[in-house]
Parts: sequence; structure tokens; C-alpha cells
Amino acid sequence: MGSSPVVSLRRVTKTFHRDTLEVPVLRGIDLETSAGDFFALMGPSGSGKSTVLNLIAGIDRPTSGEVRVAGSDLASMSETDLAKFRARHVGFIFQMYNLIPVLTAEENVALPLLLTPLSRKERREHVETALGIVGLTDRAKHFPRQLSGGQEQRVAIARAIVTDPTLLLADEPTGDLDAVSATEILELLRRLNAEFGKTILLVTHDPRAAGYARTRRFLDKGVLGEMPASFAATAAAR
Amino acid sequence: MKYLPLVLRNLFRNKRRSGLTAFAVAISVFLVVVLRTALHHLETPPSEQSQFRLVAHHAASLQNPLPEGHVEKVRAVPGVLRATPMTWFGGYWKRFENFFANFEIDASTWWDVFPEQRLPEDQKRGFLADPQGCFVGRALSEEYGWKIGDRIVLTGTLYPLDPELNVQGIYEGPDSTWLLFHRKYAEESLGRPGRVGTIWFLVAGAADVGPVSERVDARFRNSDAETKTETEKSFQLSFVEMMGDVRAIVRWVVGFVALTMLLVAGNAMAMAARERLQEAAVLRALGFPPARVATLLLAEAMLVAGLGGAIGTALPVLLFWNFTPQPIWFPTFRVPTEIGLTGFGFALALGLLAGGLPSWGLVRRPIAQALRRA
Repeated sequence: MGSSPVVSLRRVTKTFHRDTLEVPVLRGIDLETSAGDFFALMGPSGSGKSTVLNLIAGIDRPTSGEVRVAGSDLASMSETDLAKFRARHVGFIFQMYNLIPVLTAEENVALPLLLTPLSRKERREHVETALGIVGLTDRAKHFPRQLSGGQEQRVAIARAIVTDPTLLLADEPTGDLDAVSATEILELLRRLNAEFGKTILLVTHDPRAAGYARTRRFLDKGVLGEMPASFAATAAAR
Repeated sequence: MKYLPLVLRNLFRNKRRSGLTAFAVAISVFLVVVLRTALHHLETPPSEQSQFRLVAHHAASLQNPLPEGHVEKVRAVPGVLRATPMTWFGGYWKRFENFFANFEIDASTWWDVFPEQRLPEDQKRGFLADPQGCFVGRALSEEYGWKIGDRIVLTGTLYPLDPELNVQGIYEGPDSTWLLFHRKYAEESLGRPGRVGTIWFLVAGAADVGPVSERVDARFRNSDAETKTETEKSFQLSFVEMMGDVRAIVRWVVGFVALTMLLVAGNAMAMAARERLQEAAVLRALGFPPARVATLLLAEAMLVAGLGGAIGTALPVLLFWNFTPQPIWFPTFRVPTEIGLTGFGFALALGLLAGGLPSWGLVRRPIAQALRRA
């Protein structure tokens, strides 16, 4: 594990507004992740895990506090700069895969590469490599509807890694999968971290999934704290 | 270009909706092109010659004839190069439905002013030698199956005369839908009333049109038969205006068609945008800038509208390439290039407007919120 912080959150708060109601979701959290880490952020539903992930990805802005990722202060960036930042530094893995249904697996994986100056040939090579890593080379021409849930998530992981981003953000990546597929996905993430040195931030409410991470933190009611004993035991038992 | 496959795939995602929207745009463009083409042909005189050709008629009404003495007086006005009388006879052949343009002319001067209407020399000689001779345009002869040597009896509607005419020639020209016969024959048959319907004359150039018109009208001011002189185009338009303000009607219809289509296409694109909200958020999460995501949807709208526009423009161009819907007003209905291009441009503008708002709406929502909604 490297020492330079890739992600650094300082006194971050986030409050949502529901009509006249103010709903505080994050209450001044501090969080730091180093390059090469596999970090799991756990917590029950509604604890603010996904909000943390969105802030780190630059798809949401904090109410107060500082969010620095890969050396950039996201709060001060424009929407266009944030888009460039995401294209360069962030690979996003969603719970529901979020593949484009009208594109084949390889076309889905190639999507982020459209934002790069790579030639068609280079893009194809990158896609082949990414699909090779997730073990889906033979499914390159398949549409999402022709794939199982686990395969769809692997395509989504290939899409997330195809540009070799600084950071992989996974939001409940196994939440919609059966146990076997979930294990495959978690093993794949572990391998990406161990073999390829990818920095991964995993958000999950599943202690078993969190068990694959090297660093684990627990978020409850917008406050970062220690992992409850029952969760820690399950995670350690993996 | 690297985004084209994505745009096309999205376009064919809902083939029925895309197809129906393109079809609706095609119909509206077809209507716009046809209406504007109709107006164009109503307003435009058929030949180059007609730019410098003026027509003087009775100031009060076209119904009132001018004294034939006016013809020589017009010829004497400075700036008038050549002049000839021409009188609308208003007859029909056999049945009233067979109504077409027929004129009494002065054969000795008519071609001085209408040189573009070409009659072979031998046929012209035959016409000049026959007091009851007539010659007809190619399009008219084909419509009624007339050939040289045929005898035609017209039924007069304005004058108590049913002229019996011998077809002595068939002319070619920009407007080959007329029948022309000797003014002398009509005059003698009607007891020499000495009237002419209109006096047509040529001026040297565009700069002479205004001044010479004024001089001609000034020549007859305060006389029993004051004249009103107009360009051929304006004269033609005055007939059109008898039907009402046709230009305004066309403008209104085109406006309503445009508005209706904007709503139809806008609704289709709004539905597409709503369905695409989640995917747009995903693309933005992957790093696509908002403008590019919006452009992808806009490109879809433009493609659908462009396809509809191409069909809606090509259809009337091909259908009416060699088509004479009505020989008097529409001897041709060919779509002018500028109207075709305008029709296509109208479709693209429609796409831009219909796609613009939904595209903007697609990326206006915060990504996290759009993902949560999904």
C-alpha cells in the first residue's frame, strides 16, 4: 500500500433539502485513502455511504468541508472540469451495472475511451485488454440483455478500468447479484487491487463483501466510527 | 463521427416512435414545400423576358376595356420599345370545365413583345393567312388532343361570340398553355367596338420600369380610360389576390404546420429524453461533459428531423418534376431549388427546437439525483 492520499475528505458535511425540511446526511466526516488501498465503507441503508462516494466522484458537492481527490479540490471545480476529472481519474461501478442496453459489451466498455484522443485501433486494443481482465472476451459482441447479472457487472468493471483511472468507485457492486456471482465480482475487485494496484473504494452494507477490503470504516447516521463487533467478525471471517 | 454509432443505436431503440416522428416531419415539410411552390409559381412570371415587360390596363378594373387608340399612344411614350394589344377572350371549349387562357392578339406585333413564344415559320405564315386561324401552346394541345388542321369552336363568356377557329400552329415557350387568335376576327364579328383588354409593352431595362410606367399612366390621366401600368409579375399577382390574400393564407398555414410539428416532434423527443435520464446520468458519471450528452440527444432529434425533411423535400421534387396540375395558373409545378433547401432547413430547425429543450433538460438535473431517481 502506498502512502500518498488519493482521497482526502476534511470536515465534510452534506445536507439535503426536502421541501422546507433539512436532512443532514454527513455530519463533518474526515476520511483518507492512500494509493493502492482497497477501502470498504460500510453502513446501514441511509447512513450516507453512497453520498460519500458521489462526493469523491465529483457527481455531488458537499455542503461544507473539503474534498480532495488525486490532488484536486473538487469543490472549486466547474461541471466541465469535474467531467474531465471523472474521465481521467474515476472508474464507476454501479449496483445496477448501468450498461447502455443498445450497445454491445465491447461498445459499452469503449464508451469512456470516446473521451480520449485514442485511435479506433487503440481503443479496440484497450477494450480487448479490459474484457480479457474480467474474463469476458468471448462475450464482446453480446448485448446486456444477453448476459447474466454477474457478466453484466463484469462488463461494467471492464468499462470502469478501461481508461486505467486513478480510482475505482464501487457502489454496492454485489447488491443485485446471487452469492456465486457476488463472490466472482469481489474476487475480481480484489485481483484488480492486488495484481494491478488499483485503488478501490467499495461501498457496501454487506460485511462479507467488506471482508475483501484491506481498510474498513463504518458510517452510521452521517458519522464515521468503529465497525460494530458483529460486522467486524463477519468481515474477518471471509 | 465516433459518436455516430451510439446516436444511431439510440435512434433505432424505438423504431416506431422514430419512424412516426420522421413521417410526421416529412408530411409537414411536404406541405410547406408544396404550399410555397404554389405561391412561387403564382407569383413568378414564366420567362426572363417578362422582367422588362409591362402591362397597361384600365385603372378602374380589368373588366373595363381600353380604347384601341391607346395602343398607338403607348407606343409613342418615351421609353416604350414595342407594344401590342392583347385581350382576354374568356372562352371555353365544349364544356365550361375546359376553361383555359385564350386571347385575341394583333398578329403583326405580338411576337415583338412575346418573342419567347416560338411558332415555326410555316405555321406562323398559315396563321397570318387565315383570318379564323389560331395557334395553341404545346401543353394545351396535348391536354385536349388538338393538332394542326383541327377546328375549334370556343364558347364566349364575356362577349356574344363563339369563334370558330382553325388550329394553324402549335407554339413552344415558357408558358405553352394559351390559345391565341386574331383580334381582327373578334372585332369584326362583334361590330368593331374598338376595344382592347390590355396593352403589353417592353422597356429597355430595370431602370426604365418605374419611370416609363408612370409616363404611360400620366399620358392617360384625366381621360375617359385611365390606365394602370404594372409589371408582368405584379399583374399576375393581382389575379392571385382576387382569391384573397393568398400569401397571408400560405404564411398562416405554414406557421400552424410548423407549430403543430414542433409540438409533435418536441413531445417525441421529450419522451426519449425522459427514458434516457438514467443513461445520461451514467454517461456523465463516466466523464462525458453535459454539453456532449445533450448533443447526443440533439443529434438524434436532428437526424429524425433531417430524415423527415429529406423525404418531405424529395417527394414533391420528384412528384412534380414534370407535372402540370392546372394549365393556366400552374403550367409547371417544379419545386425551385431554394424552396427545396428551405424545406429541408425548416426540418432541421424543427429538429433543433424540438430536441434542444429536452436535451438541455436531460443534463440540467444533478447526476447524483438522476442516478438516485433511476
